[in-house]
Amino acid sequence: MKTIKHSPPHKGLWYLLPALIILGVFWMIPLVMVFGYSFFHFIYGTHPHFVGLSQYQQLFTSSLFWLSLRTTLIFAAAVVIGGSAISLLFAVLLFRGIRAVGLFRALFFLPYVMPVVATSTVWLWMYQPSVGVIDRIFAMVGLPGNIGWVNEPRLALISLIIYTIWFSFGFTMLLFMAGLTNISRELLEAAEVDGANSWRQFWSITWPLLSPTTLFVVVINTINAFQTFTQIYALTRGGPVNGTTTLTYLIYETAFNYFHFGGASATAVVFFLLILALTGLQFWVSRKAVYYGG
Amino acid sequence: MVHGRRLLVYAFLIISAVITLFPIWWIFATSLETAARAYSFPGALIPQGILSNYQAAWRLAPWLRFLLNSLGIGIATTVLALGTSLLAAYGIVYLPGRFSKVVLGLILATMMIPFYSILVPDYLIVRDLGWLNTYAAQIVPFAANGFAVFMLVQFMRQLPKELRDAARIDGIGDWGYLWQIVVPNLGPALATVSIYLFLLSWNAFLWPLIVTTGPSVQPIQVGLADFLSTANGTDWTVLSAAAAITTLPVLILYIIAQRQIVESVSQTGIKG
Repeated sequence: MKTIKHSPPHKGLWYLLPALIILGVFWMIPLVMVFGYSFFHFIYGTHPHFVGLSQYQQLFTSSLFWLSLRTTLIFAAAVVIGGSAISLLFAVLLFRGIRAVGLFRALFFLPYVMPVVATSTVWLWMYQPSVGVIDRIFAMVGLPGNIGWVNEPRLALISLIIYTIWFSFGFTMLLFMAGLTNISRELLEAAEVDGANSWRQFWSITWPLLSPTTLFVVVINTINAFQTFTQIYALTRGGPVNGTTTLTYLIYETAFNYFHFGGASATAVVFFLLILALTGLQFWVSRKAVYYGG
Repeated sequence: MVHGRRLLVYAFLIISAVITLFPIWWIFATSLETAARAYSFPGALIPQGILSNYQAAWRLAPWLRFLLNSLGIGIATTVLALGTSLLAAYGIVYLPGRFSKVVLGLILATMMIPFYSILVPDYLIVRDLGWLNTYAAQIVPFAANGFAVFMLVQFMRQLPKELRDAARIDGIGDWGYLWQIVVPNLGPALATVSIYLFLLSWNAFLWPLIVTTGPSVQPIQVGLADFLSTANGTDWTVLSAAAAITTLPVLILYIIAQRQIVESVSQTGIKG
């Protein structure tokens, strides 16, 4: 770096300008604007007028807001914890020196690259009561039939979680596999010589050494889970009876079904702050509880 | 004993792979089935292989148009975002000035902004620009990317410094150095960033759903979603054929470029 310090200070800025303009106009300024709009009563097509904090007051007294916050948290917790556990299991199994690792990896990852709307469609078909393939299989093995997988509020959320884990576990598995390559084989072999079984090896070597990866996985997957939209739109449209309305879906619905831009902006601000707090929390955890070696 | 355990692991992996792939198989199986047989299980597991559902789906919506829209938007976004990110990363790494740290900070900070939180103002900006229902609305806001800048900065910092001195002796200026030396030396890193940018654009859904109103500029996922919501009463066989049409190009691409896609995703670790 030192050898190039004598470049004129303004020259580099020309190179930064295109990116800065785009990110400024479509990302940074809108972020400031959304804070501004959140203080205005603003129905699309009418003149906005200033109402101070009353949009927030309305939001925090709206039962739909609290319901969707709760739904978002349940969804995120289930997808992150369930998805990570499954992904870790497959990553560890694939890492045990089996053949055709590349093939299994590619197969488990396949759902992740498929268009979400297309795979949601087939799951919707599979979830149909009585004629769907899941109910068919249930009937064949004598389980109760005619289940409203996407037609009952409580079940719809579970169905959404199952779909999301199905489509994303291959991705998380890749992240875990990348983390596992950094753990020295010698350590595991030494443990094996000492008579530690695989269960013991996992908990006393792999798990602690994998903790930076695990944290990264949890951060990324939590943020992704909070920002889930497409499969909710394709599978349940936030229903039935708002049972699968998450914060992102609430923002969409408020703004583009009810054209209540002010209310949507207040929700968007809360959503932004939530993601920010979450990221901050996870960085704090990483400094306290994660083993980075050395 | 060890042998038996290994066999168990294989059995478990194979069963899991079958379960994982079943829904994708089911799209194609249903799409190749008559409506009457599609509702019989396990009969429909092995499809009859009729193509009338594809003919019906093909008549009902302009799939080729949707596909070309997605491809065009994806390629344009990738090229533009790669260009602006390369320039920005180059400016930060090779031409540092008084403000470059602040600017880098700002650019990286945009990675923390969830697009859902700026949906409303972005919609209004795009409307004021007269870009509703255009390609521009789907390309320009994503023609720069904080994460791409971040990755390219990392990659550029790994290039040997001696290259720079040698180029200077040869009389190559800043602009020439970027295109003649830095870009060719980035090699696979450029592919990683490009795949990341393309997948991000290809998977975009909510934004095109809001800013487009007709099939002329709609990407394939929005086209499929619209088809599904307007196709009331259409049989699952035809809907599956439509889903299969949108899945097939991705499936073919994945079979060809599986290794690169997997590598890129495990390095960048983000889906759009």
